[in-house]
Amino acid sequence: MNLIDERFEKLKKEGKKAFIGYVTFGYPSFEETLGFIELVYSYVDILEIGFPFSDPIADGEIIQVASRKALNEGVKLNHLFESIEKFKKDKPVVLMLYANTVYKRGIDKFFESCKVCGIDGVIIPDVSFEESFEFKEVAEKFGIVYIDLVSISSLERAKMIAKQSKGFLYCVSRKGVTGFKGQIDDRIFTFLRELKTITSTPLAVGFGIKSKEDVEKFKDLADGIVIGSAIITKIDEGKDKLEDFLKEISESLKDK
Amino acid sequence: MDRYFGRFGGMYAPETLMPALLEIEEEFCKLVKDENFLSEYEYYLKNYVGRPSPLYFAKNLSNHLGVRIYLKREDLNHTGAHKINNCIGQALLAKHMGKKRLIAETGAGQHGVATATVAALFGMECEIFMGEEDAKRQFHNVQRMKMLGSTVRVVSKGSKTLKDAINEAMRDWSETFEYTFYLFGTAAGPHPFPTIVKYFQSVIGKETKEQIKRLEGRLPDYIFACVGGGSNAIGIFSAFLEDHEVKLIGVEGAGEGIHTGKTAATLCSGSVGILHGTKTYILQDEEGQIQNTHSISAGLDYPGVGPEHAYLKETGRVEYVGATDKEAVAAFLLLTRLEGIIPALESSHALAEVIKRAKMGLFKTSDIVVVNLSGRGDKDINTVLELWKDDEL
Ligand SMILES: Cc1ncc(COP(=O)(O)O)c(C=O)c1O
Repeated sequence: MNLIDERFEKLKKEGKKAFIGYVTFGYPSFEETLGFIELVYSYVDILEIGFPFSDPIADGEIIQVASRKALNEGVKLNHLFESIEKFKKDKPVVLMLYANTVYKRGIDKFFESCKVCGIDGVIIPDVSFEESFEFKEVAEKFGIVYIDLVSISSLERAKMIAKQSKGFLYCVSRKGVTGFKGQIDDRIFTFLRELKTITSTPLAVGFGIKSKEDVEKFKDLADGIVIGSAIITKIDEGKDKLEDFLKEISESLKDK
Repeated sequence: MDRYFGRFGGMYAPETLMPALLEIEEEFCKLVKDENFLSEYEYYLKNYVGRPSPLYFAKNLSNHLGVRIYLKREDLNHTGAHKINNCIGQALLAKHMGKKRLIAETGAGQHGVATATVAALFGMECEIFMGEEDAKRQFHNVQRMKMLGSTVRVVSKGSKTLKDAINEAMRDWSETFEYTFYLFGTAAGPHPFPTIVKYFQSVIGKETKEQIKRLEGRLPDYIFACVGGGSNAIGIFSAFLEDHEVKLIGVEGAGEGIHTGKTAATLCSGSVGILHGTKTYILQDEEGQIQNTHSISAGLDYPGVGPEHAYLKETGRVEYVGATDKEAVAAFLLLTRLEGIIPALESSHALAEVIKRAKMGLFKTSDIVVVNLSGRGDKDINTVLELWKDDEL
């Protein structure tokens, strides 16, 4: 069994929800990034590392800026692979990156490197379900979990995707890009309820979640919460603030 | 509807956008079979755009270069470029789908102006995304869009050119597609856009074929068109793809030269990748990061290209070459002087290749050459003036 499934099973037994935390590799600088990543890794159940892309169409302002800065730091895919080997322990690590980065490296070579350095899952936000199969086949060959996204913009499609999803199903809680704009769309709650009836794959909710209050709203319906832009914002405020935030979120996910 | 052209194309889009893309595909498939829709489209092409556009025999240029040259006068369309053909079609599609707002990306501003124009015509709200660099280069087009009642959103991210305008428009669309139609300006992007844009631009090729047969009694030997995203080129090529005696040549913006790194010649110097929803040739570094482009012509300054062109390159049906900034400006001035027609800098690239080949003696005197004059050059006067001042041309 892969680490992602193991982790969700363990949490389920304990009656807890997964804290999935996102950091952009290379942010805020080449020197500091590993320190921040390790700090986040120590608090979360699953670490999601974003590898920066020059044209991140699925991302909002905060992650765009972080990605640009990271690229200016000169980070390369091999740096990421080498870094993961350094800190990887028994918690799963999931890599989020754009299709062209995978494609340019060569799909086979890419997933092989993931396997070697200990990446457990991969999320490619600009690959639709329809185009995912050339990636999924190779991911499976190397034992990497390919994580699908579903969006509240179509429950019908979400059901189709949910039926064969692996690892966890990344439920995009709002229309649009990462980051937070306005209120959480109430439709997400019915959406999650519906999905629960057709899949046993854990559901993780992301895009736009920024606080303990937001997290509380999903605790009963989702199996995990993804926080990205809010963590990047806390990184800007320094290690102490980030640590306070991570503590607060993880505690609110642990208590029943 | 097939998402692919050989191994190129596809729908590499965030899941949030998939319902929007699928809805457009479905409605488009229905509409192209709907007589009412087609006759409405044709009505506007004829009475609003001013079609058919003439196929003009450029006598002076022909004498100068020693080969028979015809210009397909898309510059005479309302708003001054081929872009309007596609805008009329997609705006009617949007209207039919009940969308209230149009968004579009623009580089040279021509597609932005055309979109703002159809928005005014059909009474729709409209917002145009334009890179900061391009907005500076094309100040007048920005003002035109505003006068037409559109909002211009200047994008100061990334390279501040067309690709960043597309990124930003896609982000907007993923939040607003319930009431917004993304009126994509070229034959690139995720399926179904390459197919839709080709459909609405294919009128250029159909007319050209009929006109040249009437004027010369036969098909041309060569067709030249500039390639940014590839919409005017696929539009004119589409009618001739099966006529293998017609040589088709796509001319990209080579900037300072194909191998200088300061170029926008995607098919000539790029490699296969995935950008803006489609698998195609792109300009990228060895890590797959998209490279900044350079072309004197904002409309060609794009690091991707329509997937069908990638396919036509791979199958060898179309030959793709690059013309440099310098060559384009020289062609711009030559046509202006000899024919009294000021061509868009984009179209000047296609002309430049014809001039180059004529000077190298690559044509027979009996050859018939058609150049797609995709737009007029009023918008480019300032750009050319900067180079012209200290030039004896
Ligand atoms: C006059 C003109 N020609 C050509 C182009 C290039 O676009 P495409 O390759 O889609 O025809 C543009 C784009 O702005 C344009 O304005």
